[in-house]
Amino acid sequence: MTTDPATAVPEVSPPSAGDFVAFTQRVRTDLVVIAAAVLLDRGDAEDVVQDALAAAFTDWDRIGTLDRPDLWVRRVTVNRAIDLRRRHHRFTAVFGRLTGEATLRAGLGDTVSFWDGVGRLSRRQQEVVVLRATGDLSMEEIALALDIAPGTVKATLHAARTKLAHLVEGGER
Amino acid sequence: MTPDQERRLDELEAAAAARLRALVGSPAGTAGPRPSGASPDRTAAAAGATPVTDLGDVRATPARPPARWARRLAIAAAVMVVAGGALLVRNRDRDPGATPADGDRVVAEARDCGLLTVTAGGWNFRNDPPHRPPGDAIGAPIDAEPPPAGTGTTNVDRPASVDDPFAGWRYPARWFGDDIPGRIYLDGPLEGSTQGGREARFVADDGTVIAMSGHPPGAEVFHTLACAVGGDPSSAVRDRYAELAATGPLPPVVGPGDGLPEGYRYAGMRATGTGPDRSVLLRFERAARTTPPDVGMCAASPATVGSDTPDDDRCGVPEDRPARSIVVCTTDGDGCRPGRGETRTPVRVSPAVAATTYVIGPAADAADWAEWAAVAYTGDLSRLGWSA
Repeated sequence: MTTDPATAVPEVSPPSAGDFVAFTQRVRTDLVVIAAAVLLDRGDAEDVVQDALAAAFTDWDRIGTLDRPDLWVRRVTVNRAIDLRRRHHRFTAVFGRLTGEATLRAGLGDTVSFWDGVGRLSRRQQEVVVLRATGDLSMEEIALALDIAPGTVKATLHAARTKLAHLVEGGER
Repeated sequence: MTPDQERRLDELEAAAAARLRALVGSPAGTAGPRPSGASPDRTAAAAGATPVTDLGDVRATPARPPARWARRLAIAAAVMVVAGGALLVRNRDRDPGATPADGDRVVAEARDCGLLTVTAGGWNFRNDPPHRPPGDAIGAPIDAEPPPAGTGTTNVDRPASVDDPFAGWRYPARWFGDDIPGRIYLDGPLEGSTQGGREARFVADDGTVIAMSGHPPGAEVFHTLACAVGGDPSSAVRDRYAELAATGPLPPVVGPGDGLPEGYRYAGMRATGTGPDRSVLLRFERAARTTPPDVGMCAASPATVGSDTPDDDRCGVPEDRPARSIVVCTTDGDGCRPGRGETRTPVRVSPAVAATTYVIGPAADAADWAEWAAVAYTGDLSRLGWSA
C-alpha cells in the first residue's frame, strides 16, 4: 500500500516518560492552584493533582501528543477537585471540617469569600471561573479545555459572575 | 450586574487568585521553585547521580486514603523507572516516637546492608533542622551537629516552623555516598504514627532499582506499583503474577517462625524490558516451612527501630552479600518497636536480590501482601547472579 504524500500524516514521535516528567514539572504548580481554588486545602489539592497527573501518565501516549496537554490535565484537575469537594461536603456536614482546610482559609483572608462563592456555582460555572481565575486562560483556551464553544464559555462566565457578585456581596453584608 | 459590582468582583477575583497562588504556588509542598542551595537535583548532580525527580509528597493520613497514596507512589515509581532517573518522594509526616539515634542507626544499618537509599521515615536524623523546638513530639533533644562538609544539608524547600519543624527537610543525596547513580527518597513514614507508625523504607540498588515499603494496604501498594510499572492497570495482575514461574535459581527462603502464620516461598521472578525499563518482578507464595541455609532468622530488620538486638538488626543478611535481601515485615509479629503497640517481624530474607523490600502490616494479611510483596527493578540482572 502506498501513501499519498499529500495526505500523509507526518510521523510524530511518541511522547516519552521524560516528556511527562518535564510536563509535570511545568504544570504542577498551576494545577495545585486550580485544585486548591476549589478545595481550599493544600493537601487535598495535591492529591487531586497527583491523581490527575497519574491519569495523564497512564494515557500519556495520547495525552502527550495533544497540542495542549496542559488544558486536558487542567480540566481533569478542576473536575476531580469539584468531585472531591462534594464528597468532602457530605463528610464535613457531619464531622466538621477536615484538618488542614482552616489553614488555607486563614491564609486567604477576606478573599476566601470569592472561592466560597465559586463553590456555590454550577459545575460548569465553576470550571470556567476557576480556569479563568487561576490559570489566566483565554476564552478560547477555556473552550478548548472544556471542549465547548467559546460563545458558551462567555455566556457561562457572564452568568457565573453575575451570580458571584450577588453571592459575594451578599456574604459581605 | 452593575459596573461597580463588576469592578469589585474583578478586584476580588484578582486578589483571591493572587493570594491563593501565593499560598499554594509557593514551594511549601510539592510545587514551585526551590530555593537556591542543595536542592535534591543539585545534590544528586553533584554526586554524579541521576537528577532526582520530585513528583511531590506522598502522604497517607486519615484524611488521605492509602489507595491514593498508593497511586501516588505508583505513578512516581513508574515515572522513575521508565525515565531511568531517580525519584524523590516526600512525606512530611513524622514519627513522634523516634529519636536521633534511631535515625542514625537506620542509616548505618541500611548502608551496612547495602541499601543505597533509605528513608528518613520519622527519624530525627542529625541533620534535622536545628531549630526544631526542643521537647516537641519527637521527644528527643535536637542534635544540631551539622553533617559532614560537602554532604549538603539544606534540602529545604520551605522554612521549618514551630508548627512544622521538619518542613521540607530530606536527606542529602550524598549522604548515602557519591557513587550512587540514582535513588529513591522516602522522607518520612508512609503513614503517620497516628495510624500505627509504618515507616517508609527503601531500597535501591544501583539507582535503577526501586523498592518500596508498604503498610497495611501493602498489597494494594505493591499491586498498584506493579500495575503502573508493568503497564497493566487491570485487576488481572494477580493472574499475571501467577505466570511468573521461577527462572533462575530459587533463592532460599524463609520460613515461618518469624512472624507469619505460614511460611512463604519465593516463587520466582520474571524480568522484562531492557536498560532502565528493565523490570524484575518477584513473587512469593505460601510454602512449607523451610530454613534458609544462608540467612539467619530475623527478629528485626535494617528497618527496625527500637530493637536492642543489633545482630538481629542486620536482618540475618550475610555480610558478604549485604544488598541481597528481601524482607517482609508484619506488624503483629515479634520484632521491632517493642512496647509501642506495633511490632514488625521481618519474615523473609532472600539473598539473591539486590533490593530490599519491606511489607509491613498485620501478619494476618501478610499472605496477600506476600503475593505482591516484592517488586524490584534493575537493569542488570547478571550482577545479581540471576538471569531472566
